[in-house]
Formats: sequence, structure tokens, C-alpha cells
Amino acid sequence: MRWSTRELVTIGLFGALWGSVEIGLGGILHAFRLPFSGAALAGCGMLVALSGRVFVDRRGAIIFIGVVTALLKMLSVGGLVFRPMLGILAESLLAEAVLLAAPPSRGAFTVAGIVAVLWTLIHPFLTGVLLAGQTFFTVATTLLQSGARLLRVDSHAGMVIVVVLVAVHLAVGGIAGSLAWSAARTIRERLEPAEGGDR
Amino acid sequence: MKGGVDRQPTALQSAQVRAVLPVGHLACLLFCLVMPPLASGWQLAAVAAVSLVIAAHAGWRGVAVLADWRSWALVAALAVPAAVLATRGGAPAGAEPAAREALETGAQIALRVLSMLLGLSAFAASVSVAGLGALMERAGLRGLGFALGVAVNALPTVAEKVSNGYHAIRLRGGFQKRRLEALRLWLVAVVVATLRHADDVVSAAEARAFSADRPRRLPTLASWPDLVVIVLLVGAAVSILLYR
Repeated sequence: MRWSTRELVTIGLFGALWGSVEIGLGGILHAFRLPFSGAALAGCGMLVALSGRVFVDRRGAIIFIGVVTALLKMLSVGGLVFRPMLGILAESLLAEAVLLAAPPSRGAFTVAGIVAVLWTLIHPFLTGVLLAGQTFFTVATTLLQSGARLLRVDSHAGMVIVVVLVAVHLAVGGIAGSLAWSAARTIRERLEPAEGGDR
Repeated sequence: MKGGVDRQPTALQSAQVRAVLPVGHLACLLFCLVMPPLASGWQLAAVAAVSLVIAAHAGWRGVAVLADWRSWALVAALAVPAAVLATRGGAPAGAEPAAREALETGAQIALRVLSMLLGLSAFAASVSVAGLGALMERAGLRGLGFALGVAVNALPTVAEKVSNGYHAIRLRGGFQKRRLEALRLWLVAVVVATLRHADDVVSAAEARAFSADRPRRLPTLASWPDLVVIVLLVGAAVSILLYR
């Protein structure tokens, strides 16, 4: 696949945008151990990556933006970021997969945002079980206990915790996708007459 | 553009690792990422030792991850719950076998995480942006090296635009009421600023007759020391996995 110079520059800059959010906001959220920081970061990332997809209207653009972001994060922070790196790559792959199945529209962007943000719930299972060698039970128990602490409910109310966590992730992803579509369309509509006028 | 890209974190490349090129470092990274999940017991100690040697060869930046409290927080966050839960499986809590099992489980997870952290740290410290981009280009992701170079150069500018946009909206009363609308306005401002910056970068690239379509000479990615490194790593991997 050949990309034009403009497309590559736009991909690089949207990668830098997502990277600056990951490095700046990510550092703050993780340092203060704020709840739903993974969902918030994935939502912000999807805001940027999906907006970028409107301006680089080619298949694979989100994956490219994700790869640039993951490499930026690795170069800036070093080895400490292997889990976020995998998360960024997985989120961009999932969002791209949705947009491969459905042409870009508000609905497709919303679903892409939801799928990508929902990944943050599954991500600990991948890194914990496959990479660190934890058992599925350990990861699930840790997730439920942190959910119970956050919601101030008993950790035995597993179904309630899972439903609330999924609902929050759905909402964050849906808002990110929809907002990215509406913001990018607004910009495109405003910029197009100006570009036409210049010519 | 090229000069700008090369001036950036190539400084990360220390004098000790000049002999080994990106392919050798990639082989080291793969060893540190693939071996920990495959190994268990004493094999993991050997994998961690090899990872430490790889990281030490990359210089201070390679092993700096061990001096960062966040690394140990990550290791504890992964190892402690697994160790605690391991005691609940067999013998009663407090019994010697249960405590030993917990210790072993925790130690194994800690070694796996540390090996991966060291491998990634060594890779980040040894491979320059240009080398990384060239690796990706050879892997079929054409243009990624250029995009990555643009991103590295633009990161401070973009971060400043994000910050300026946020403060401009906040000082005008944004993010107090109708937060979603404020977020949308912020996104519009940031994306417009990014697109404008993209125009400048494209103009600069075209003024220097740069074209992404034109084949470019990529930096050398491998030489004989890389082959030696790969053979040594394969030998180490086979020996560790065969050891019982």
C-alpha cells in the first residue's frame, strides 16, 4: 500500500496527538490511580484516531496511527510501557476492523469506539494470563475486587460489578466515537469552502 | 526532514551498542518477550539473567527501568495477587507448602515481568528512530519511518497545541457546564491546529523534493555481529528450554 506524503504527515501528526495524550494524561491518571483511567485513555485515543481516519480516508489509517503512537510511547518511556503499547495496538486494530466491516458513518464510528474501549476490560486477561503467567481466575478476581472497591459493593456481587463496568466502557466508547465523527465532520465542512476559495 | 529526524532520540544509541544493528536488537527483544511465557521454574531465572545481560549491554538507559519505582509497583501489582490466591488452592493458609507455593508463583510472575521490562527498555535505549522506522519499512509498512519521524519531531508542538486549546476553552468557562460540548470544541481546535501544522510539514517536505513514493536508501539493518547475536540467543533459548 502506497501512501502520499500528506497522508503520512497526517498519520504522523495524529499519532503524535494520541501519543501526547497517552504520555501526558496517561501519566497523570496512572500516577493518581484514578478509576476508569484505562477507559478514559482509550476513549481519548479513539477520539484522536477516529478523527484522523476522516482526514486520511484509507483502510489501515487507524492501525498506522496506532503503531506510531505505540512506538512513540516506547521511545519516550522505555520498557515500562509494554502493556499500554499492546493496548494501543489492540485498540487501533479493533477500531480498524469495525471500519473495514462497515463504511465510515456515525454508527460505525460509535461501534468502533465502543469495541476499542471495551478492549480495556479484556486487556488484563491478555497481559496477565499470556504474558505474566497469571491464571484466568487470578485476573478475574483482581478485576472484580477493584470493581467492588470502586463501586463500594461486596465483591460477591460479581454480576452487578461486571454490568456496571461494561456499561461505563460502552458509554465512554460510544461518546468518543460519536464525538470524533461530529467534530471531524464539522471541521471538514468548515475547511472545504475555504480550501475551494483559495483555489 | 531527514536531518531533523536523525537529530532526535538517536542520542539514545550508546557507544556500547554500535556494533549490533537493529536486527540484532530486535532478536534480543523477541527473546525477552517470547521466552518468559514459555519458561518456568529455574528456566525463568536463566531467562531473566540473559535479559539483564542484554539490558546492561544497552547501557544505563537499558537497566534504568530497575531503578524506577513504577516498575516494582507493576511487578507487585501482578505478582502479589497471584501469590495470595495461590495459597487458597491447596493446603490451609499459613502451612509451609502453601507459603512456598505462593512464593514460587509470585517469584515466577515477577521474573517474567522483569525480563520483558528489561527487553523493551534495552530495545528502546539501543534502536534509533531512523533504525526503528527502517525496520518497519522492511517489514512492509512503507512510509512508517517517515510518519514516525514526523511524529517524534512534532510531539512537543502538538502537546503544546493540546495544552493551549485546553486552557483557552477552560479560561472561557468551558468544562464547567456542557462538558461534552466543551470537549467537542477542544477536539475541533486541536484537530484544526494539527491539520494546519500538517500543511506546514508537507510544504517543507515538498520544498526539499521529498516524495513518499520515491524509493529511499534505508540505513543498514544487519551485519555479522547481528548474526552472532541471533545464533547465541537461539542457542540460549534451546538450552534453557531443554534444561529440566
